Amino acid sequence: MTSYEPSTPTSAPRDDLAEHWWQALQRKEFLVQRSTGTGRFQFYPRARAVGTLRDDLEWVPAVGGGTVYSFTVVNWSANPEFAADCPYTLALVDLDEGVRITTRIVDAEPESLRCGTRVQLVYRPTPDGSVLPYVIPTLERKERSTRDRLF
Amino acid sequence: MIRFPSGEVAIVGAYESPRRKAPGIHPFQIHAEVVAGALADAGLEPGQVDGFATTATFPQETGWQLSAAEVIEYLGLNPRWIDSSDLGGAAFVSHIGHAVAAITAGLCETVVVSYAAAGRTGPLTAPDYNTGIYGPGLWEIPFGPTTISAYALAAQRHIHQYGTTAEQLAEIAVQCRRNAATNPDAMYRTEITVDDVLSSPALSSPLHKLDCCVVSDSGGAFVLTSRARAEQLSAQKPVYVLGFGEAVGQVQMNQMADATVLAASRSGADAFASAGITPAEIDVAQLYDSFTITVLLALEALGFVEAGEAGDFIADGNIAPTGRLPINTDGGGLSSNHPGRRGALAVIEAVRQLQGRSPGVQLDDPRLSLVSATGGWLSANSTVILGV
Repeated sequence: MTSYEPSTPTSAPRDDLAEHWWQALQRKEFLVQRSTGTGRFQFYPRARAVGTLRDDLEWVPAVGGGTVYSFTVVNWSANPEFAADCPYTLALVDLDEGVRITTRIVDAEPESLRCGTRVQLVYRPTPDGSVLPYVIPTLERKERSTRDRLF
Repeated sequence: MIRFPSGEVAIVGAYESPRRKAPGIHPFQIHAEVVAGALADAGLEPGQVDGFATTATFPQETGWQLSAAEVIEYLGLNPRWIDSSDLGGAAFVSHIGHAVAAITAGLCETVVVSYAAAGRTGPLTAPDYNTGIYGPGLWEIPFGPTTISAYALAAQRHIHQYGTTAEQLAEIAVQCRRNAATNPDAMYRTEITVDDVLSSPALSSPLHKLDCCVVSDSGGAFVLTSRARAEQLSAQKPVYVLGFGEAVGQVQMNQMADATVLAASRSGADAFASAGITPAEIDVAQLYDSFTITVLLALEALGFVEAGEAGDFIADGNIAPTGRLPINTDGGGLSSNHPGRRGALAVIEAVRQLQGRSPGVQLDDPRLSLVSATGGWLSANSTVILGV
């Protein structure tokens, strides 16, 4: 039986946009793009503004606060790399900029989580020298005041 | 508004491989088996086929970049119209709409749609993620997004928004198993209970092992032709294509604006509009059941119930053969057959049901059937409405 071998996910080939984004993670910055024309944020990084296809994007570091949109505790995968990490809590998180990201919730008991839980970005090194952005549950009060100030 | 040549093309033959486990069998062997089977069912010869649609790009299907060409070569066909549109499990339903357009435009007259995969014992295993690592997947794959987890994220959100319960989801698996009981080819036929589903391993919460489809080696094919030719054939009662729609939502779950709304909300609306009928008129539906949540979301997206109402609709027995909308009458992917992309097999069961020859639960003279297939990670949906 021949196995279908995925490359190490974080060592996948990167174009210039991806390289820029991953380098920012090393500085503990989670970059999102904003269209200067429409003011809309977008994630993941792309060459043009989604919808208008205008070439008017700028990079903006996310403030770091977000809300869990949904989550799942993954206990099984056919992929050996994922399986080695089980169980882990995969999540969709709405950053305060208005973009949704895929990440993991770490340092939290799954039983304590719900859709709507407030979280903040944290940055963790991986064995291959990359840095990955995860989220941890946080207190709502401080995050909300930061968001209100900036937006 | 779209214009669709409703009723101008018919499905005149269908064949599902009885295989479920086929170690050592290459998927292209199964293509040969099911294309021959579908043509024999229609009373047609391979030389009468002038259109062909398939896609075999999944690892367990073993085709490569020119997968349709590879399958056509293997079968020795010579079609003048070819479609290899790929929307995951929805692909083979999309092929119907495309074939109707081609046949009514005069590009060809008789199209075979074929699907085969060795999902269970194939030479290649799937990587358990759907996007390439060079590209959009770069921002999702490092976090471990498995196929089941995408559907689990949708399920968790639906539970949060509407109070849907794990028990209501489990009822879908229980009903499909009940429908499979009399299907001699079904992979699993022994009755299960809601408790059985809830006590099976939570592979990706809130989804359990028995919320997931079977994994089989199998395939199926069906034959479409013009109304004129269909009326000359006598092997089977023609099943007419009345409506069609297809739509793409997203590939990464973080791009899904509302994780409880499938792209079926758009493809379904197009299908009903092109057929000129409403959901209440449908007698039976084959709803893609990769996971229980896929069925629940489809009931809402297609307009059979309002958003948030599918849980109660299911719990009240409405998807049973005696209910308002019987579904997956052969046992579906949850109990009968799911080699990786079930769309073609759901079409075949819809055809058999309308012709009065379901191997599972045959309903009393159904006239209108809907097939809705959801591919990828809730990524795409193709819906077709069939009638006799």
